Amino acid sequence: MRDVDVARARDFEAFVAAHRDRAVGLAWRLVGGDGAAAEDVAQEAFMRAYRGLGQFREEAKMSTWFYRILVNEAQRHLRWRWVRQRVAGEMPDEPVDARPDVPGDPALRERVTRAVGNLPRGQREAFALVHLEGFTVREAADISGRAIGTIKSHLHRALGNLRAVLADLDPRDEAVR
Amino acid sequence: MTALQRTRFDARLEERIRDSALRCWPWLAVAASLAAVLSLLVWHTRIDVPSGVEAAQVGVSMPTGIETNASGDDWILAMTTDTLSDSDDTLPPDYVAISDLLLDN
Repeated sequence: MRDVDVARARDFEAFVAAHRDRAVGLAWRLVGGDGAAAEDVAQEAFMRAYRGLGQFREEAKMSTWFYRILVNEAQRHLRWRWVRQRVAGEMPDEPVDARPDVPGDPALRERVTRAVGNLPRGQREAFALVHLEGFTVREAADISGRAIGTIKSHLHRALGNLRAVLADLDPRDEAVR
Repeated sequence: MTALQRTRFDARLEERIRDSALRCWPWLAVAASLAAVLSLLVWHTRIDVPSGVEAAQVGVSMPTGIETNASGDDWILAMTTDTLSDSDDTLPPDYVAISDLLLDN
């Protein structure tokens, strides 16, 4: 193997190690809580990134570039899942949280996961990127290929929708009662 | 992810990257096969214009040119009247539409 290929493979290996967990986590949120699908989406994104390393332009951060690939892969997965469910009559998968190290009530987590999964795609992406994965609004805009104003609008609406669906979980309501 | 999940993830990713490099070869073989089949089809269905001697021996008129018909929507062959048939009849010009010729062949 040529030296440049060895160096490239080594760099890519380091990149995977640095972003693997976050990639799978983000994919999990974007595909509605399906662990197997999330791993598949993350792997496909890494593979596309590896193949596209030669075309990567240094204008953007590599992580931003990679997460944009990941978001596109998640969208592709959801489109095909939609087709399979309608053509083959496949039942939608129940969200399965295979992360053993996440604290908290599993039932509550599932309910929140489902609520986020039911958001319209743009709102779900914006919410997952900013509030769940910790990207800045600007980074979320770069990753999803949308304007900053659009991301802010999606965030505002996502929060409104989630508050409406999860209103009974508001601790302030209990205090009033 | 647990350490085991990470190990499995990395191993599977490595395998997929390796397989994706090999995956293009079957498609190249399919593409080459399709190209060969198409070439055969094109060669088989092309119009063979008989040579002058052959045409004369079987009494087939030879094309002398190509014109369009009156409406301009079809190409027709202007056929020569010079044929060497047994009866040595002088045939009037015969116009055969290219489309009919294709059907006959």
